[in-house]
Amino acid sequence: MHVWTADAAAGQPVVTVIDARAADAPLKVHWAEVEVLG
Amino acid sequence: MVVVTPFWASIETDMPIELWRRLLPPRVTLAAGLELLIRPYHAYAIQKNSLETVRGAAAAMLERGADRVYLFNYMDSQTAMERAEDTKAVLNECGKLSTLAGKTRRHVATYTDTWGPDEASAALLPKSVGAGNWFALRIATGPKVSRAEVRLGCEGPAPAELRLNGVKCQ
Repeated sequence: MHVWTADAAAGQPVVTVIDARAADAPLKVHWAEVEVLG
Repeated sequence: MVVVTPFWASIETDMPIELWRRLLPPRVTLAAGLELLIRPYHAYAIQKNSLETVRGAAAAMLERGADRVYLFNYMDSQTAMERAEDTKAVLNECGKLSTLAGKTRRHVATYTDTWGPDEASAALLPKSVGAGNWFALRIATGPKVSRAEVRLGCEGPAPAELRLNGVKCQ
């Protein structure tokens, strides 16, 4: 599982953009979630 | 009372509660039904919600206009959460936005496990992204988010870049 953090993800709903434009191989996403830190 | 709910296979975290609210007379209490199971698509391994994923779904549904949260199969015997103490916390926290405030919550992309005649079945995931392409998905996250983490389960390389509401993640 890959994890990224955003410190200023203001507003909602959250739109997550997954950018593979610079990747050299395809990826397949099986799970996606946003954890809102309390 | 009207309870909007999936069938059984997964909690549905993107139910259009605001549309149901508009369709129903104001005197009708509107409840969001939350299933015990959670998965992003039907072929994914069956698993149960955690306290944090129930908080997330409840926060999203309440923020979208649900009056109540209806828990399905959150029993204290065979169909129960993995940790019994979490059931008590769910009951105490997940009925109101005020009792959810300030608590860590997880918003998971799930799918619609049932549909009407002539309606297409739909699941956001799994999603293949070819090299040189991108895609976006929208996850309802309830009240305004100030700090968040994104978790992706992927096959292949990690995405080159990931953004939340336009903010580049680290």
